[in-house]
Amino acid sequence: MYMNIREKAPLLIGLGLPALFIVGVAFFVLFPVSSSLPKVNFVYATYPSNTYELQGAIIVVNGKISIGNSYSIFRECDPYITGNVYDKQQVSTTVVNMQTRPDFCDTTLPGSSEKRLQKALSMGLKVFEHNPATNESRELTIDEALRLNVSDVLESPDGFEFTYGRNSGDFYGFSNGYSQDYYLKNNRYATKMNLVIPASSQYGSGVQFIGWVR
Amino acid sequence: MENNIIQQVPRKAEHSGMILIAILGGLLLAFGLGKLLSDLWPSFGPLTRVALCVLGFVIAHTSGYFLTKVGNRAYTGTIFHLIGIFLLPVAFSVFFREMQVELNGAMKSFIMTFFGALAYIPFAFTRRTIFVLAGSVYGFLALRSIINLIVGTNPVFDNYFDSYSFLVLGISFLFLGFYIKEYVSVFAKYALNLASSVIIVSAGLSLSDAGRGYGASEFALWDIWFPALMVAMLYGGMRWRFLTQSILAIIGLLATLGILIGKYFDSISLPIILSIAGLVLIMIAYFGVSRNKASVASDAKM
Repeated sequence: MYMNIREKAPLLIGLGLPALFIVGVAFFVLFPVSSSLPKVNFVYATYPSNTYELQGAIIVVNGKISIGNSYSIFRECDPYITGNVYDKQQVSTTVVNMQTRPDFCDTTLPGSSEKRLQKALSMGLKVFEHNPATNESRELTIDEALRLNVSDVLESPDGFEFTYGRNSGDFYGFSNGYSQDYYLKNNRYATKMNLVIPASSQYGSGVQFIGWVR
Repeated sequence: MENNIIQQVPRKAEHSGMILIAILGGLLLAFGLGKLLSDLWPSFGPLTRVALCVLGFVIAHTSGYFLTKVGNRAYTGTIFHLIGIFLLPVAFSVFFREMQVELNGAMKSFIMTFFGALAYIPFAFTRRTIFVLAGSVYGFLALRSIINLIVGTNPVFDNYFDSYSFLVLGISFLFLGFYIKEYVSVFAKYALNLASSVIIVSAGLSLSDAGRGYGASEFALWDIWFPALMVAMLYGGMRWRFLTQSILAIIGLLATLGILIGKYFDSISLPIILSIAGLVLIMIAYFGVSRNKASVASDAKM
């Protein structure tokens, strides 16, 4: 009996070790430690994938959501370009005084954050607040978005990061890259966020994380 | 006697020539049938396509079995078994596609490879090396598939997690190699030993290298785990006289020495690194020779 077990031991270990590993991974995935669940709300924006101008357009200035001085969005105001000639691929013949030329046509940008945001929203941008506890998103109006106090640091106060999911790998797990799923992740745990992603968004390019709600 | 030897030489050459011609004939036949099948494939219905794949799988393994057992043609039988082993995932993928089975990629991979991993069952009855190798390769892929199925897109399970799963596989192969050794399948034993050693060393190195610049993270501990693992592997390799393990453990030790010196003592110059590596090798060789002498002495006493 003893000899039989001793002979079979390598086989039992050889087959049992991977089985134990699978059980361990399943346990880790299925029973997360409740104290490590994310609690801090965050804000994100979505934009149709054909409006690449909106990619990364939102910035946080002094805790408030704003639209950056995006040349692409407000290109018609650039002094290099007269009217809509940029779209027609025509080179402007206007002589520009470099001393008076403002960077990215600041002077002609819509003055208030509200107007800038309005312009971006008219191009298809949407801003959402996501509650990780209920895993639900709510679309914000311009007023609500501007009222929010946001922190744009990488890590939330409870230690989570907003990140892409891994590619689950169709070919026996041998593939790299990112999936279209979004997660909040810390060192030990990641939970999938059910974001509202526009159907036109492809390869996850239509989502921008803005920051954590304070 | 001398005449006999002289006659055997051309006979042997003639025999080898015949085998080559037979192999050529087999290849031509396989290409001919393959071309015929691919030409006719579009005209077949879904059920016929699936049935052809299953039939091919059954014919290949049945032929392999009878050639080995009845015809005493072990090598030819192995080739047929090999064809059957390759046909298994083909048959499954044709089945999934033609029957329009709605499953995600990871689940399909798992089903295909799980049935392949069951090759260990025919091994238990036939003791054919080919089944051990097929079972191990499919088992490896089945483990990857099932883990992918469980973790999905969860980003906690990143590339370093992959290294851990490879490490588990490597250790598993090592023990399976021990078990196979009991069943006289020398080739399978060496194949598994080689695979396990390569997997353990590369996975361990990847984890050890991940420790660079991470400070006191989990990877920093691999500065201790990895050399310990290599020493254990080297000891095991010498103790049970597994050459592949010993050589790869030495390579792993030298690599980790380079990593550790680069990480903690980057001011040390190349000549000193080479000298330390040389000393480590001499110590290993001394230990190996002493063990060998002790082993020979104990064999002589017996």
